[in-house]
Amino acid sequence: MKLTPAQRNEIFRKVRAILVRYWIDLGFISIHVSEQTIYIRGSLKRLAGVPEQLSGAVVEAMFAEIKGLRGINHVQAQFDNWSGSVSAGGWNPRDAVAVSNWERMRMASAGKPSTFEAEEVSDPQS
Amino acid sequence: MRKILSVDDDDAILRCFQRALDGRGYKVFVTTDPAEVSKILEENELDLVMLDIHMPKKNGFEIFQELKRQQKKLPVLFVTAYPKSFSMEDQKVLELWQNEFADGNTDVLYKPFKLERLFEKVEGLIGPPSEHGE
Repeated sequence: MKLTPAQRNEIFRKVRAILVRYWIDLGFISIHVSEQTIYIRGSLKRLAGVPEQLSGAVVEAMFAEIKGLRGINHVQAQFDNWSGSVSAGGWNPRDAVAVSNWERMRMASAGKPSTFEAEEVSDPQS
Repeated sequence: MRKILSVDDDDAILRCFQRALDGRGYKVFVTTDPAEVSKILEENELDLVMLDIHMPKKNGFEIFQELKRQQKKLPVLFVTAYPKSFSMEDQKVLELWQNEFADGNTDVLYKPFKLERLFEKVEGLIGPPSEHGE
């Protein structure tokens, strides 16, 4: 089903309203709506001064609300500072992914040169 | 044709917005004087107001509150170079975020930005330039 411009606007508005409720800084987020899929990209950050840090469980809850919007079949999200997926969950801040990878490698490569570890940490996606 | 008003104390920025959004098919009004905002709003059926935050004559948040008193659902795009303008430690920002941003009719764009990002934010708030366009 193709969305009318009014329906698309309404979906945009509702997604922004959800992000605002979770104190997400809209300035770092970009939203696209195509057919019945929402694409959300950018950096997932809370506003300056919000005391509670964003957690994986909160990100998952937020996407559960977005997925529940009427007229939407799919939600895709990609962030430079969080890893995880809307369908499978597992949201983690990228720094934490880098640290856990680094820790894993440290344990696996005990005795190997530390430069190897540093290279891996600088690119957690590799 | 959808109409946009852009308010910024930097004339060069306004010219840039006007050229870019006019080229996209929107009708764009610009002003560096916050005192003109109400008049432009009364004389034109605006679809969107773009607001700088740090301006010498009047703060963008004050203009925002005045706009919302006149037209509660008018979409607003804040354009600022200072992400920390939206700090929750500022009581006024906190109140605006909870009360006025909650309806989803407000968005934020941080400078510097690519034009594609400006178009994306504008279209996300009011849709394509004409009523029936895609």
